[in-house]
Amino acid sequence: MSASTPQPEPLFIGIQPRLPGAMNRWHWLLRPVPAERMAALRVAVALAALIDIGLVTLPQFAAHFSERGLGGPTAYETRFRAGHQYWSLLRVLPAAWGPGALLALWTAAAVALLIGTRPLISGLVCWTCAVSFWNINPGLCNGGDQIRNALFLGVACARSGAVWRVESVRRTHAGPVLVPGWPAKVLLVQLVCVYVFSGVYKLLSRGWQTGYVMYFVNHDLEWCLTPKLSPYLPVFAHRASAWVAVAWELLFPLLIAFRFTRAAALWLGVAFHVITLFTLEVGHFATYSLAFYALFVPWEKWRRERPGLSRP
Amino acid sequence: MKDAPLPTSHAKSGPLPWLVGLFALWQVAFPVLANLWEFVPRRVTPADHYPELSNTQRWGTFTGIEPAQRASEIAGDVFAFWGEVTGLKQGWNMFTPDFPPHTVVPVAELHFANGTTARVASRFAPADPDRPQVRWPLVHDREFNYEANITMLGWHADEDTVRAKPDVWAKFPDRVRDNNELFAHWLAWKMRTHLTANPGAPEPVEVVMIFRYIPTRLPHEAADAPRRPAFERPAAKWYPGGPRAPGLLALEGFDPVAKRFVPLKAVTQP
Repeated sequence: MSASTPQPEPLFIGIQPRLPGAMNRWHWLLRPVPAERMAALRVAVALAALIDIGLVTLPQFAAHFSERGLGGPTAYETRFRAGHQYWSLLRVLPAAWGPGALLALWTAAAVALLIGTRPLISGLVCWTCAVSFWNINPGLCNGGDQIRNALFLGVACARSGAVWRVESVRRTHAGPVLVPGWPAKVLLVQLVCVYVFSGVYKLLSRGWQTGYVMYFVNHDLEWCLTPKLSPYLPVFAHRASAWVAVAWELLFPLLIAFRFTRAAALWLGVAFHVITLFTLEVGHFATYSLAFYALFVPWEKWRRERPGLSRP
Repeated sequence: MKDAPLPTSHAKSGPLPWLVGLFALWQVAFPVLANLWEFVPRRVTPADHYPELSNTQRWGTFTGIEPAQRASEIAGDVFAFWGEVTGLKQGWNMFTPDFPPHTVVPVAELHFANGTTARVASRFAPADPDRPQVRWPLVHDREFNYEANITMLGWHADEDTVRAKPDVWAKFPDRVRDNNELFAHWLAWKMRTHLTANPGAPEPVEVVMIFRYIPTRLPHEAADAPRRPAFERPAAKWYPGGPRAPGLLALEGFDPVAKRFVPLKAVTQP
């Protein structure tokens, strides 16, 4: 593109929220974000969901959700006791075919999310199915399921199908596409809370203060996937990994706020989740956490200009 | 995240942008407030019992001023409501307050009417603790979580700790009762696994969950030092034929202080 060619106007898609009074100038929350960010998040979340469904859930599905196994619609009634608002569609669907049908629906919705077909509906369907399975057998879950619920809800609200979808708006618009920024900020706050409050609880723990907690985790024959490799690391390295984890978790919001520490902090986060995925039984907590990081990649920088498309 | 300029003209008129704005405000405040509120002590209600008290919430009171305490608890109820309805439950405390210096493996021990026993191990039990195999991530993650949610209850029940805190560990049967569904379904599943693998085998009269503790070499010990001996402790006993008396669960919890099984009353919410 030559310097004299005027930049096409950004196209905004979505409902820009209004806030009362001075809050309407809260740029951090309200400023739109490039549509590519939310589309990338949608794809990452859909891939994490398909891994969760295909690799983690499906192979042991009968064992985990049938009455002959660890599940059944009434297996964990105390989850739904008075005074709480947990719910699951699997409580009302017949035990014979309900779990299978809901998993099939969830899979279809995750595929729809991946290719960007009606992401609001497919995101909400994914969220409904995810919460239903989360509540019907809570023993199978860890914090990754709560992250998963937040991601599905965020992607559904995020106009994540504005680009990178089968019927993309970019077929008719060559310039930048913007979508509301608040869903990205909500998810960012959620990620920050996961890290910071984890760090706070660890900071209060004697085991984390001394660092020996990671020595014992890494040598645990169940929690560690590679316990035979752990003795090759010196004790100090295990302890240091605990201290680095606590410091990084507590400082995460500060580190990503400044340009000169942002990339290093994010790469450390990616490395942390990849390493723990392959060395500890954290499972889908790692995959869904990694999906968050799609938000931070400047995909819009690699936007291709499309000659011949209409420009305002 | 680098943002685009704020397009002030994009907000349309009508109620929808206002509703979206209020929802955005709530969603961005919720995780922060819900996590902070876990540090504000609140009084226990019947809904907080059965099966468990949240392990991240602080319990008690933070002030003697009743309206302030009550207002804080109502706010906590609102956060709990939203977390449960949406699945956005907060509370992030992995590997805290501490991690035990041993691996805890659950074992199902089947007791038959003729006095014989059989054992069904967890798939995660190491065949040889000194030569552990590398495992694939994700594949059995869910089953691992299920077992970990059980064994974590007895993580620190080694002899020294039980002796040092008898008042705490004498209440272990209460923890079994609070989590009776987890215990009972796992034991029933392992029993069925055994019966499927052994066609014609009789149904057991009792199935005992045993926690096997495999000590981890301490940091100052050499990597090839002999491992301290493993030890076992019962955790719960399940009766496949149902409760032994009206008003009881089909599950008993093991008191590691008195070293006996304790019948558990069926959960009845007040």
